[in-house]
Amino acid sequence: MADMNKMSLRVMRYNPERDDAPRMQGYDVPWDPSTSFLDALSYIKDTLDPSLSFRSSCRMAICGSCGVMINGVPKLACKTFLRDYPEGAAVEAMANFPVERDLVVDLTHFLEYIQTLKPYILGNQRRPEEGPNSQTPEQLAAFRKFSMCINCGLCYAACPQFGLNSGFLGPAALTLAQRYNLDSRDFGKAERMPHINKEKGGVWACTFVGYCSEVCPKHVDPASALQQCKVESALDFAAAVLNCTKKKEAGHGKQT
Amino acid sequence: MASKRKPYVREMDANWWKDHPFYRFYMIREGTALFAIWVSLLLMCGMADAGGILSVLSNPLIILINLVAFAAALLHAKTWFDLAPKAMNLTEAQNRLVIGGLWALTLAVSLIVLLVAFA
Amino acid sequence: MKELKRSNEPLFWLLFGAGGMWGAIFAPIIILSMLLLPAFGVEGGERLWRLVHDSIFGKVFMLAMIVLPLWCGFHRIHHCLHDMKIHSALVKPLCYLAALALSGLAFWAVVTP
Repeated sequence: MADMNKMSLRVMRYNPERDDAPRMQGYDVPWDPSTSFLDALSYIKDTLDPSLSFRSSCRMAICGSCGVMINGVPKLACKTFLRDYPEGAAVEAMANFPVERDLVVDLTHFLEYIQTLKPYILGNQRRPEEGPNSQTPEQLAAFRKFSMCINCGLCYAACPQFGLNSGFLGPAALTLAQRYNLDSRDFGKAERMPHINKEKGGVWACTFVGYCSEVCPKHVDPASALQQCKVESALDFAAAVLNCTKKKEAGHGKQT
Repeated sequence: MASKRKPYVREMDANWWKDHPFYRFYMIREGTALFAIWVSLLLMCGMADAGGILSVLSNPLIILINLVAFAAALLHAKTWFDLAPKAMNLTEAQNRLVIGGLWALTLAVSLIVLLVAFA
Repeated sequence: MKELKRSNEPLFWLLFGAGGMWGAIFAPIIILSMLLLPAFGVEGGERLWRLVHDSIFGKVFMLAMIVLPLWCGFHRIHHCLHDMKIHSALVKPLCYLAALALSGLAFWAVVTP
């Protein structure tokens, strides 16, 4: 390690018991072409500064724990390598989330919104003795891309609409809603639509900035899922208007 | 025991889009709307006053604005066609087909307008 | 259930979509042929202006060409102002009223000979 090249990293530090605001602290980290930012953060914690806090688990871009901003871009620390930043880099906590401590953010909003949209199969009456609930390849292809989400939250860090309005359900949660709405085994769309349609925080807060799809480490394309949510919501709107006029006509019929 | 939690909220500035290339391009994309409205106003004037519009159009300042509006319209077309098919659940190949189709339609329409003008 | 109040955005989004698509297809060639070419004295552009004044088809086309991009444009301005942290409750009604008023004006401009 001693003869390895060193790279200067600046890392966001915030101690809620001492600091009024986050600050940046510099560290020199040894690196070779295989060193990821997660390796670098672990090195800092193990040898330079044990007080550094960050989340991580799998080291292989599947657990979605180690999201950070690297030079202002939302990235998974385990999937991003120092070799691509020869000038050094700044590592900050994911944007648009409150900072708990150092690189650890408060994901409460994001996790609550996922729950709100019920991303699991609803209303399917099929019983185990009826055998597996099989799908055609086409039925699977309809939603497969949107099911690749690992809930890392990078799309929320990329979304200015979530940053401007933390009540917005946001890219990943709405993408999951669309993923289940597209699933031939699911019958829960009617339960999800009121949340997608709603004035405060529904899909209509999205202005298709599109950066969510750019930063997604799993190429889920949340921007596309949200556009599809908008189409669904517009159809739902039209159906509601039609139903409303029908009900009124029926009401008049009874009176006369 | 009282909580030691004190989450720090980083407020966004009104000019959050200025220092980031992706967000800057988004704002330019949305900004093409200003030129779209300008074109509508100019066409409206042309419909209201057939004789007057032609002299207005040869004003150097108007020519300059219209050149920028032309570039803005092309940028709008490019970004719109790239993003529009995302509202449908398509494969990558179908996506490309739709985008190509939209450009083909635009080209055909443009040729027809030119034919009407010059033929 | 006030929290789940339905957004009326679909209405404006559909107009935005129609205007955006119309503008993407027609705006470049119309700007070129009717706004830029006549400035340089090219006869074809002036011919187009005569045609849209003298035919019903031309008038209907021009009405769509003026009105649809207006709804697209003011929709974008409405959201852009939100992006710039101008969150006044007046922004939305003002933007769409402007689009509505200008649409009415366009109708008048097109039908009066």
